Amino acid sequence: MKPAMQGGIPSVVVTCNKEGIPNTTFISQVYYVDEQHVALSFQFFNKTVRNVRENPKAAVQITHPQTFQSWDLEIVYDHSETEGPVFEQMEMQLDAIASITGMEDVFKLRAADIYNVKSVRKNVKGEH
Amino acid sequence: MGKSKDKSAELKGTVVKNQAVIDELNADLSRKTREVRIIQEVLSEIVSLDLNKILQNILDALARNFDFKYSMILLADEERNVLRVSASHGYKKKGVGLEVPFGVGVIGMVAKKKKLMRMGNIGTQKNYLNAVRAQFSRSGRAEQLKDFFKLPGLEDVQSQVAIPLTTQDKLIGVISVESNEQNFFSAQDEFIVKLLAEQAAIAIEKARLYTSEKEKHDALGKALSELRALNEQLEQKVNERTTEIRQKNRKLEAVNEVLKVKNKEITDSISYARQIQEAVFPSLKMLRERLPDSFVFYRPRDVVSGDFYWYHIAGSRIMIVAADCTGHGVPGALLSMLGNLFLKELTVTSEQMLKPAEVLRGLQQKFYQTFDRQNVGHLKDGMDIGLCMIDTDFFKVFYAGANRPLYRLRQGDIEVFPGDRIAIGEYRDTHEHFNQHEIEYQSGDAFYLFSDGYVDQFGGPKGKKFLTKRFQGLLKDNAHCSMKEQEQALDKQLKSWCGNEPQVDDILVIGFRP
Repeated sequence: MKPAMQGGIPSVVVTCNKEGIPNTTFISQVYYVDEQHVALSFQFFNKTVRNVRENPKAAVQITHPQTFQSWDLEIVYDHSETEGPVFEQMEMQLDAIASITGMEDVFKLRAADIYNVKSVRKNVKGEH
Repeated sequence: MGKSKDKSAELKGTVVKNQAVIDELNADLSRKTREVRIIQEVLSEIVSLDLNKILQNILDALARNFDFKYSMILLADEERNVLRVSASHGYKKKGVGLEVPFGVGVIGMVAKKKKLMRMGNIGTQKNYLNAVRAQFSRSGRAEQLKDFFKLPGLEDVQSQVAIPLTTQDKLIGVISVESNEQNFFSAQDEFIVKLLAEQAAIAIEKARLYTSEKEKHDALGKALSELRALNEQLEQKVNERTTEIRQKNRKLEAVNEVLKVKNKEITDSISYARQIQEAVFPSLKMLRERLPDSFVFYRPRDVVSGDFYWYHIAGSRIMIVAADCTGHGVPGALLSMLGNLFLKELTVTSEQMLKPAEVLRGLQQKFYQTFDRQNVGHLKDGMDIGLCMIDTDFFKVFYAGANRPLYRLRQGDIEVFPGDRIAIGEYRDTHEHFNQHEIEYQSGDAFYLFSDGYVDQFGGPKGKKFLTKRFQGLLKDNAHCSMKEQEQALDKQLKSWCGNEPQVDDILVIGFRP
């Protein structure tokens, strides 16, 4: 399952605002933190970031880049980190890519949003 | 049947499961074997000190054992904040020497943060950022963008593990492995690269230490050889100087030899001159016969002398002279020869013996005639002289002197009869007549004629001149003695007065009892 969290294939994130209006978006990577947590990068103040701060429940689908096996995760926004090992590891990766694409001034990691993982469901072929 | 079919299926499942477990264990075992092998290989290479070779070997071993096709090791240049490719494996171009600034790309970021990084989706991430970049450009925010950065490594890199090489928290380089496949590197791979990174760091430090030690050693060697060269130069110079000095010494020795020869020649010739001088001066034999109680105390300073005595006997008259030609040695001796000659001419050849004052006047004229004053204007030499004539028929002594007195010692008292204050050879228009003393003598009276040598002699406890007062005292003290004994007393006193002082001038004292 871990290869699915290395950003090979973009992941789908679904969130809702406090009124319950859903939003779906693709993100480049869901970072593995530990068995109970994942992290999403907060680079721009987009709808996902805004939504989870109003309504922490979210769902994400990750895909193995070789087998295309996918998993659905129920996650809950817990808190946001601007330092520490998780933030630094994410920041390093972002900076590394941003520096070669000439984007280091505009593409900054603002925070690592940490989510609790509530459930994981392996998708069976044809179900998704 | 159905049951057995189920059972068979179940068994089959179990076998498949077990096989999967066995496969997994085998894979693990194989991996561990490779890990051990690579460490052995790398360690065996680290004994070498050729850094480039060590690094190359690490990368080659990595490719051989783990199918890591593309890898490189970069060394940090902390002054310039860049990494430079030092060894690589698998790339079309070796890329050795290419640079990566700190903070740029995966490798640059690892160097900057000194933290390892494993990425499996670089291509995707790049595409994503490029898309954002395009959006930025379209929305007129291109000024916020910088140029793309071309880095050494795979162009279509997807996966990468980059690990900092550090010793004591100091960055010395980065080891990087790449793949163009997504998610190529596992956590296990990260582990093995980390292991090698540690070995590489040790090797680099060792090699650097060796290099710096070698540089120090070389510098020391260079300094040593420079010192040696200097030493040789110094020795060369010393040798040259020694040769020079030796040559000069030889020359000096030669000169010395010449001087010795010259000196001997001069001494020989002076010794011969003395013989001539002695032959010219009259023998004292006749004088002693005529005046038994008398002495001539004569001590020349050098071989030949400026002082001289002279006497002439004619009937009842005896002429006795003590003369002191200015200077001593050869010049004095030359003058003394003249004096002697003139005295003979004036005294011996004349029919009647002239009186002392007349002799002095004659000497004066002869010296004046002999020396052409215009030629010898600078000659200050002349002659002090005391001249006394004893007339034994009339018990009289006639005395005339040039700068010299006559002493008469009678009953312990000395009477001084001074000479004129002029030297023979010193011409003055006003001085045509010399004073002449006519002195009657009694039995026991003693007379003394002398040059200034005795009273001018330095010596005594304070190195002072003997002086007239002491001289008169000496004569008085020995007044009761015979003239022979008086001569011995003069000799003894002179020796004790001189001590270590050298004799300053010729010395002449004549004493007699008529």
